[in-house]
Formats: sequence, structure tokens, C-alpha cells
Amino acid sequence: MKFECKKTENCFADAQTYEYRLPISGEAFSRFLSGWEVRVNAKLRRPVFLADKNGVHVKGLLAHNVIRASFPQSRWEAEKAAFETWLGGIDA
Amino acid sequence: MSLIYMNNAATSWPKPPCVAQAVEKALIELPGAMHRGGVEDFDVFAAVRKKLAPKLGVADPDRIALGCNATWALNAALFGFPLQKGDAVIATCAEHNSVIRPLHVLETQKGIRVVYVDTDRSGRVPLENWHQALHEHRPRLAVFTHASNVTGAVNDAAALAQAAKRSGAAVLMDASQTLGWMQVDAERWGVDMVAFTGHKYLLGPQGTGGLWVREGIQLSPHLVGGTGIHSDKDTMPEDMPLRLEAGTGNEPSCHGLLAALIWAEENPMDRAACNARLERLKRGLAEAGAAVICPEGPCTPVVSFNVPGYSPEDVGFMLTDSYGIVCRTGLHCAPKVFEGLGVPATVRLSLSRFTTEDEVDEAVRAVRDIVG
Repeated sequence: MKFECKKTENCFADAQTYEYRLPISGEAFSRFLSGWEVRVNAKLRRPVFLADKNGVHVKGLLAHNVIRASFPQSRWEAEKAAFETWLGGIDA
Repeated sequence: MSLIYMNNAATSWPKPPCVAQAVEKALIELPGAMHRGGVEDFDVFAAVRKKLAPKLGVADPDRIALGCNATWALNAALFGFPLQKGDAVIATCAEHNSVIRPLHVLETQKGIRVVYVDTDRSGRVPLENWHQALHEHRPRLAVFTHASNVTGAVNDAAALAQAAKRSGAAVLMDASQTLGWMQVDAERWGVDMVAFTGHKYLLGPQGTGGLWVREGIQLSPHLVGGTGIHSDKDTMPEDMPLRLEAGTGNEPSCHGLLAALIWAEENPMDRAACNARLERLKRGLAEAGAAVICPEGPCTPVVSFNVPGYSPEDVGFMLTDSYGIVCRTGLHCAPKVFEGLGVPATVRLSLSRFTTEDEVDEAVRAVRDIVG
């Protein structure tokens, strides 16, 4: 799966957060999250999913194709690279 | 999806329509600098100073130097004040990075002792902490924010300033969060310098702000350059405000700020209604299950809270992306205040005089949905 990536700024102490534009919706993406701890909040006006695995936190709107991923500060580069390798390998 | 803007403690929005119109007109018309003064010349900078003086509680508008924001003003004050190696500066833990970072430079590069005075669970500095720090460190300069940008808690500026003066310190107050929302009374309170911005509760454009300096306080200009007068001299003029106003001013934005100041005079804020909406928001969030920081006493229209089970960043994401409610999350550029608050970060909603009761109720509904 191809994707675009851009860093997002915020003022959290350990922020390493990036946005990814995907060719599929958040809902479709969330089906690939086996092995992740996934929470879907469908009651919100625009339903969202939140997912965690090994300190990597991913979230997005189910009906939108942009997701946001935060990586643990101590090993963010390695985790980001691994996440993007996994993301690129998804056959959507 | 329509947006509900609740990030006014960062930048106020919307502005009165006359603000954009004034900026546009200024950009279309010839620049004011084509004239060189005189009784028939309209000097927008002088007009802004004249309107600001009563809001700041100062008599002489010419002691107000105009610049691009409060950070500019705080840098001008902190780097311009005659501190010597070994001098102490005290500041509160509620300060913004626009104070913390200049003080860090003074500490690490100029040998200034910097002492932060603990704030409490509301983000306010207790007077006994302040008195103790003044007694213990005998600072040359005391710095405090008029109100916490994280919690909205307004400090007792008169008490803090007068205590500092009694101990021999000069006083710098950051009024970024208050000017335009409440009256500042700098001269009566005993404050020596007030830094402010135009783009928050004054309702002006970004790129405006300034520093009032009491007569008798001589700052060394942190920024030097052209002033349009005394061009034959190598040094900045002695006279305020030009001493601190090197370079061409932001004339279009100052026209916008002037329009905002005139508009605010003609359209006084209904303070009781604004405070009622603020209290409605705090009460509603707490009833929805959020952990709300509710300072007692006077507050700016700022509410910080957390939702159990979610990080502030996740709550901010859901509010903004799912409900179109523009908020701020994290440390809010004021990292030292969080130790006293007892939380690592917050979600912040900040209202303006234009925020409606329906918008408040919508924010409460959204948080209730998130809490589940």
C-alpha cells in the first residue's frame, strides 16, 4: 500500500507524531490491525479508532483516509521505520 | 462539518469584521511612512498607543513600544534589563516558554540566577511562596504572568508587584492572557514593565504586541537598527518608544489592532454573560465525567481538563476531528506549571466573547460522548 507521510507538531513532551494519508479508509485500515489493541468508538459524531502496539499509538476517523501515528521517543526512528515497512506491505 | 473555535487563549477568532477591513485598506493605501510627521499626519502607531494606555492603566502612551508579539516584548524586557552576573531573577512556574527560554539563556550565558516559584493546583502562585522567594533570593527582577494560559487562574498582580517592589526588585508582568479580557492597572499596581500581545483578547491581528516600560526604567535595546530619526548616530535614540522600536513597524496589522480597539470601546463586553458561559462549560465538563481544573477566584475564559482513560492528545483528536471543536492539548508552552497541577498535560478549551451557549453545550456533549 502506498502512503504519504508528514510530521505533525504538538507540544507534548515526547511527541513524535506523524500523519499518513492512505489509499483506504480508516475503517478498512483498522481491519489490518490484528495483534494490536484496538478501541473503536462508534458513538462519536464521526466514529474513530485508536490502536496500540509496543508503544506505537495509531488513531484515525473510520470514514477518513488519514491516520496519525505516535512513536515512543526512545526508539521512534526504529519504530517508525518498522511501522512504515509494515504499512507498505499491506495489500489493500 | 462546521467548526467551533475554542482556542482563543492561543489566537482569538473570529475578529470583528472591521479588523480585516482595516488591514486590507492599509495594504491598498500608501504607507504612512511616506509622511514625516506633523499635525496633519495620521500616525497609526501613536493612535494604537493612545488606545492601549487606558487598558494598561498607564498615563504616558509614549512609554509603550510596539512590536510583533509578546515574545518580542518579553525578550526586549529580559535581555534589555540591566542584570549583572550573579543577580537573581524570580519567576513563577506558570510562565510561558516566552519567559522560560530567555531566562534559560540569561542563566546559562550570563550567569544570572533564575529561581522559579511554585504554583498551586490551580496554576496560581501563592503569595507566601512569592514572599519566601523574594526574601530568600533578593532578586533584581521579578517576573510573573498575570494569568495562567493553562488554567486561566488570574494572579493577584498588585500583591505580587508590591511585594517585589518592597524587596527591591523591578517587576515585569506578562499580560498576554489578560489584556483585553480584563482591566490591567500597571501603574497603580506598581508593575514596572508589561508585555502584551494584540492577537488574543485585544482581538487584533497576529504580528502585533508591545511592551510598556515605566519611566525611570532604562532598557538596553535588544534589537537595534533604523528608526527614521537621528540617522547620523550609531546608537539607538534614548527616547521611548523609538529606543525599542528598531526597523519598520507592522503598519497594516497595527491598523487592524486599532480597528479592534475602537470596536471594543464601542461594543463593551458583557462580562457577566461571558463568565456564565465559562462556568457552564466547567460545570458541564465535570458533570460529563471529565477531571476539570477549576481555580477559585478570578479567571480568564480558559478551561483545562482530562478525560479518564484517554490521553489529552486523543481527547483533542476526537474533539477536533470527530466534532470540529478546535482545542489545544499538551503542555501549552508552559511546562513548569504541570508539577503543581498534578497532571502531565491537559486538553484546553478557551472561549472568547463571541462563544455562544450552544457552542459550550456542544463541547460538553462531545466530551460526554467521549467519556462514554
